[in-house]
Formats: sequence, C-alpha cells, structure tokens
Amino acid sequence: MTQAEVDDTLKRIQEHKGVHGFLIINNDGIPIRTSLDTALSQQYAALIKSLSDKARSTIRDIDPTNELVFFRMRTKKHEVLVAPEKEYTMIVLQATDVL
Amino acid sequence: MYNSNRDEIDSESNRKPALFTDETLPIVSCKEVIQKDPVHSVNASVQTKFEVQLADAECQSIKRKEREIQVDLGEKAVTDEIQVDMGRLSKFLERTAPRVLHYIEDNAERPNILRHIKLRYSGDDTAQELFTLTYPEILIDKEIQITSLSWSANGSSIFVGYGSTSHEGLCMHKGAVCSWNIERFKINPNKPDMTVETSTCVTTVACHPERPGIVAAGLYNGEILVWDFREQDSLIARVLERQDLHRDSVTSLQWIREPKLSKKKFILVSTSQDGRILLWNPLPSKNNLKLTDAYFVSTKISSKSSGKPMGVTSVSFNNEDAETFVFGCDSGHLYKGSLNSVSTVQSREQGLADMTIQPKNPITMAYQSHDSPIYSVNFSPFNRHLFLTSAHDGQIRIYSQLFPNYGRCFAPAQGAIFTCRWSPSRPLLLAAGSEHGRTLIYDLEPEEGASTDLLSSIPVQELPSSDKRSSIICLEFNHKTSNTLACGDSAGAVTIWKLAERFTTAQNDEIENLQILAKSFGDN
Repeated sequence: MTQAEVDDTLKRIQEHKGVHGFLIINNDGIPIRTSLDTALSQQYAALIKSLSDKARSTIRDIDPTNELVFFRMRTKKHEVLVAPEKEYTMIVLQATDVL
Repeated sequence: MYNSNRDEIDSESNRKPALFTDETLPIVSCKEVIQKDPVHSVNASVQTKFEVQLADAECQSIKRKEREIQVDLGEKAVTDEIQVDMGRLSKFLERTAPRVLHYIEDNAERPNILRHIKLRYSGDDTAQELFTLTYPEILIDKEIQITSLSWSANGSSIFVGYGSTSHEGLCMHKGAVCSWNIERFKINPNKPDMTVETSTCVTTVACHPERPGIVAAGLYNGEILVWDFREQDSLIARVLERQDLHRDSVTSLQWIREPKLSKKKFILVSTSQDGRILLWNPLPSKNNLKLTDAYFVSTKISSKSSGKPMGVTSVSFNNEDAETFVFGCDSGHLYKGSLNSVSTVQSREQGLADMTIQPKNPITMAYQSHDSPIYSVNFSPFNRHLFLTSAHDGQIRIYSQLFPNYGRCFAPAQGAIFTCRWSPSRPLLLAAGSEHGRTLIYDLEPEEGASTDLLSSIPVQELPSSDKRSSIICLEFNHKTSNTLACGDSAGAVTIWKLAERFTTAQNDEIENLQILAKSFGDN
C-alpha cells in the first residue's frame, strides 16, 4: 500500500512541467529511487550529498537553533532543488528554459 | 802435387840430435783487474698505503608481472540491494513532496527573466599577443614556411609543421616538426623545445586528442609518420604497405574516435591530393600504420575521362554523428560523405586495385561548390548541421548539411582564405585566416532589436600576422584554454593571441541562436 503511494507521489513530481528527473538518496548517499541513469545518479548522489552536508553545517554553525530545510541551485541549463532530511534527501532537476 | 819446402829441410843430412835442457820459465803475473767497488744495496719495504675496502651485498633476480586493471561502472542498478523501509520513505515523502512541488510550480510560473539579461562586458576587446614563436634555423631556406599547427592533448604545447608550398617538381626541402611548451615559466620564442626533421616538407600535423606525446604528420611525398615523444625511439609508426601510400601530398590529418567498433580508441584519417581518404588503424600496434578503410573521390565519369582523382584538401567529421563527414576538393566541389557508404568506385586510376582494402565512393550529397579550391572545412562543435568552408575565391561560407545551398557568405576582400575555424567556447564565433595577412574574427550574434537576417557581415576583430604582410596559413583554437588562438603565417612565425573575454564566454542563448540560424537556411 505505502509502496503504491510512494510511486504515485514520485510519478506526480516526475510528470510536472519541466522536470528532467529526480533522485532520492539515503543518509549514506546511496540512491534509492531515481529516474536518471545509473552513472548520473551516482554522480549526483555523491556530489549533492557532500554539498548538502556542508550547507547544513553552515546554517547550524551560524545559529544552532536553526536548521536547513531546502535549497536550490539555479544554473544555466536547469535548476537543482534539494530537500535534505535526517534519513533521506530528495533531489529534483527542473529545466529553466522551458518557457 | 806441390813441392814442399819441408822435404828439403827434413832430409837426412840436415838432422841433428835433439838436445833437451831444463828450463824454468819466469812467472808471469797478471794484474788483478777486479773492481773493488762496494756493492750498493738498499733495503726497502713495500706496502699498499690505502685501506683495502671490502663490501658485500646480496642480490637476487626478481621476476615481475604487470597487469592493468580498471574499475568499470556496473550495469546493475544499485537500488536492487538496498533495503528500504517503505513506511519511513512514505512519511518522508509526505513531508517533502509538497514543498518540492511548491517550488517546482513556482519556477514554472515565474517568468524566466534571467535568460534575457545579457552580460555587458567591461574592459576592452583588444587581443593580447602572448608570444611570437619562430625557428630561425629552419627559415634560412627562404621557401620554408609554416604549413600546419596543432595543440597538444593537454593544451600546453603547440606543434608546428614546416614545409614549403612552392614546388616545381620533386620536393628538395627538408621539413620539420617543432614544439614549444607555452606554459613553461621561461620560454625562448626562438628556440623550440623539441625538433624533428623529416625528409620532405611537412604538410600537416595532428596531435592525438587524449594521449600526450603522440603526434602524426603528413608529408609532401604522401608518407604519414607517427611519433611518440615520450619514448626513446620516437618514430612509432609509418605506412608499411607501399601500395597503400598516398600518391600525392597529404593535405590533412585528423584523429577521430573509432566509429564502428569500440568508440574508445582514436584512429587516423588522412586526405590527399590523390583523391583518397584513408583510415588507419589505432595505435599502438606494431610500428606500422595499417589501412582499415579507404575512399576514393574521382571526377565524373564521361567517355573521355577515366575517373581521374579529385584532390581532397580538407575533411571535417560531424561531432554528433561520427560516421558523417564533409570534405572539400581542389576543384571547389563540396561533398558530404559517409563511412557507411558501399558504392563502388568506377575508375581506372592506377594503383587502386592494388590497395589492401578496396576504396569506395563516399559521396552521399553534393553542396553548392566554390569556384576555386576549397582550403578548409569545419563542422560546428555546437550544432550538428552547420559547417564552415573557406576557399581561394576569398569567401567564407556557412552551410547547413541539410540544404545544398549555402546559408551565409562573408567576402572580406582580403585575398584567399586559407583556413577557418569555429570557436570551441562560443557557438556564434568563428575565425578565418586570409592571404593579406589578417586573422578575421566574425561574430554571428544578432544585433539587439534586429532580426537574424541582418547579420553583421564585417569582422568584429582583425588580428595582424607577425610582420603584418605574410598570409595566415593556419590557425587553431586551444581547446583547453579557449581564449588562446594560435596563428601561423607564411613568414614562418606563430603568433599566440589571448582573446578578449567577449570572444570566449558564451551567452545564455547562443546555442539557440545558432539553431535558429541553421533553420533559417532552409527558408532561403
């Protein structure tokens, strides 16, 4: 049952306008669900994980009561949206020149 | 018989009785002549003065075995083995999905203003001349000039081929390939770091795109040599089969990825004035270049001509479709060819039947030709359809490979255009070298507010050759540091320019503008 819900939500994200792909990694940096090819998933997983850890520790250092909730990186070709959490992290790639 | 006196003396009458008496003779003494000098004797003892040194060491011969290994990314998806707790994943999604969707929608709705912002470049546009490299010793022969340039795989060395373009009969010149490393702290612009002499003029040089040290050169007599400058014995390959050799000078050499087999190794493609386009096997293997594929271009068959060879002057392979290429000929014709072509050659040209691989006719499409020999063709690195040509008639034309007629033409009235190249970093920029001694840089960026029909048809920048007069024979962009441009001229000097920021950094929408340009060729 929950499997179906999970798939449903991911499908909704995937089919949104402009979304290139998504990736969910666990806290070890291993991709769990992905719509990208293996090599690219591995690359994103490793790189975004370390960036996200750095960002989170930055916010924590500035204000220990605060915590990182979401961050976005807008590049020339697309935007990377990252939602880090304790157990899992979700990464979505959305194209920015669709319009 | 002789008479002796004795007989007379000895006769009876003369004999007397012998009377013996005792006599003592006096003692005869002889003087002692013995030298009584004392005997000199010296005593000495001898001994080696230095310490005798002893050393001992154990040695043993060791057998070694070497093996290379490499990690390959596995084909299996990693997700198979990870245990995922669905419950927790679902809860995570409940929390994050709404937020993510909110931002996705936000992005979709917000107008994309950033792409319309154009960077205004501050600073001037002037190009900075970094070095002028010459090799005075080889330029003693006044006929020798630069024939070809190539940057090394890592972009820090430039290899220059020297030869002559004026030959009346056989080539009596000595050519050379020299290299300078321009990233060294102190470089001597008049002395190359390394020189190799060749038996005849060098007409073209090409460095391997990935392996530093491997350089191939084509000569005036049709030979192809490959060196590896990291080895002690640097010449590593040459063509062994005599019947596969080019019959005329090699006009261009290129390294391309092997299109059919592994797509990992690089193979060499050579074109020549004898009408052949040949593909050679990948290195390293056994010191010789073996022919793997051959194509022959001939003039049209009529009752009189027997399919004479049409000299191919330059070739360029498509970046996305590795089996399609465009080549320009000595007659001004421009054709598209394919490595998959199987049409046979109808020609009675000598030597074709002897080749180890029978040549085929590569032509798949013909384009509007120039009226004079085409010197250079170049596919755009950013668009799969566009390519550039330059010819002796002084025109630079941009074609789309889909349409037979050219789309844009620049005629700068600077004599023949010997070379033309697209910039590797800016999709809309191209450079060309002219006979009157200038490197012309064109920018296809449409003017603000104007439609794409009104392209600027004058060069945005003109860079002079080393002595302002000699023609620019060849130019190459450095693919690693894209603001570096090397121009070789007929005075034998290579000028290395550092281009301004405006010519090297691409804007947001340049690739799109290039595509719009390519499509517009079909409307004409």
